[in-house]
Amino acid sequence: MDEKEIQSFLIISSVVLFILIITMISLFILFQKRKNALILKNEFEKKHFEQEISKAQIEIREETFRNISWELHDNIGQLLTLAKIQLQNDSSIDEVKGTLNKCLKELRDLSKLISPDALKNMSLEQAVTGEINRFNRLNFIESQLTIKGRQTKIDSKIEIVFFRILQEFFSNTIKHAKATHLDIILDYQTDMLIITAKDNGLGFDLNKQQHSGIGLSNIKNRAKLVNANATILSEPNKGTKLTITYQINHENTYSSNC
Amino acid sequence: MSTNPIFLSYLINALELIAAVFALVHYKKYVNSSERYFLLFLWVTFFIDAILGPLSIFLKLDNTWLYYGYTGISFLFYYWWYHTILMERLYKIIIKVLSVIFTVLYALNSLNVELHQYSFIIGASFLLIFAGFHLHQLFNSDYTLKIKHKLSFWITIALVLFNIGMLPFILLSKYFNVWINNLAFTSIFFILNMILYSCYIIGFSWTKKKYNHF
Repeated sequence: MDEKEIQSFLIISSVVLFILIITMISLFILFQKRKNALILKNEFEKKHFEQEISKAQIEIREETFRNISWELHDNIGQLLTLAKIQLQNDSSIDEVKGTLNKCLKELRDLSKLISPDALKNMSLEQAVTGEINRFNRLNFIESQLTIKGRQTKIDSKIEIVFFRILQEFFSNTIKHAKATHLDIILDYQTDMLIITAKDNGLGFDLNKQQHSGIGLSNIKNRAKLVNANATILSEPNKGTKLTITYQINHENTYSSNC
Repeated sequence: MSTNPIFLSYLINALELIAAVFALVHYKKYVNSSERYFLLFLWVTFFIDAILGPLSIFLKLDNTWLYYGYTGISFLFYYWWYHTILMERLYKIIIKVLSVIFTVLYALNSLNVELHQYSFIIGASFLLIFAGFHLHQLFNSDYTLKIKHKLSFWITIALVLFNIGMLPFILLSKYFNVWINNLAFTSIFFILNMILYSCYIIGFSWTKKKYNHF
């Protein structure tokens, strides 16, 4: 190689090397920045997810307290009042005994239902069954739960969210819909869980603004949080139907991601 | 500096072979993705570079067209691959348009051997744009956290580093008019090839099946 060639070689190799190093460093910095941003975002989402789960749990607990208060006042309280009246009216001991036995039975049922351990380890199916039994027992609404397919294990945090959504729907049905029937279906398909809750109540017009506030957006947001999809169909005088579809073993659930 | 530059070209052939063997050994990990065509591509590269090339020299045939043909096909293969893995519609349209422009310019440049280098420069420039699209797509996805297991990332890094080094190498060699087949210049070409195939080998070794599903 002559002098000119050596010079050219040095310039070319330096430029090539310089560009390579600059490219590598830029890619590395860019990658690190994106990685850190993504980690922060994931942490924020995880925190938000945990907060929402806690919120749902607190709401479930509040609802339980409300139900206990209601049952103590309107069910057990009524039975005790009846026993008192029977005693005042000198009714037969058997009659009073019968009323008190009924009262004790209700009390035991209630106690069993609200034991913290029972609430903690309850599956979605058990929790919904508990609600249905309560509705039927207290003659709130005639309710029915149907399970289809083979039950698949779902993350308990996700079950909490689904149960809270259903509870919100039931509460709307009882408070506003004036329905006589409530049907719930838990349909376990191979890779999908479809939850359907349907009442035969007053229904409402989905397009009317004032109705969209009754927990509907809350239901949809909560479903979205666990990568599920919630749709609500309703027409005046034709009842309301809630459908939640959830992909089982969804890779992007927070429980598996975090 | 007195070593024969042919020795380095044998080393490049060895790198091509090692990369192709790694691609074969780890094939199961990326069989469900469009990266599976790289197995064939790497073996074709080895076959052309290590067998057909030397054979044409041995038979005293002009191998200009063999390498020019390989350059065109390899760029179009990379373009097609990026077209399949990029999600955004705009990116796909840009790839289609630039592929057509490349094909036309490639055909025009083929008329004059002097212009063959420009085909590489155009092809490599377009490829760098598509690689940028892919990196943008990857960095905006959840793959960022597990990027070392993603084969398309390593292939893209390989292509970026090789082509971004090749561009000034070719342009400056032409500018100084020193395109000479000696060890000093072949060594730059060797280093770029080493980076290219090392990234391929790392990619095939580190990739995991669950990150290569489309």
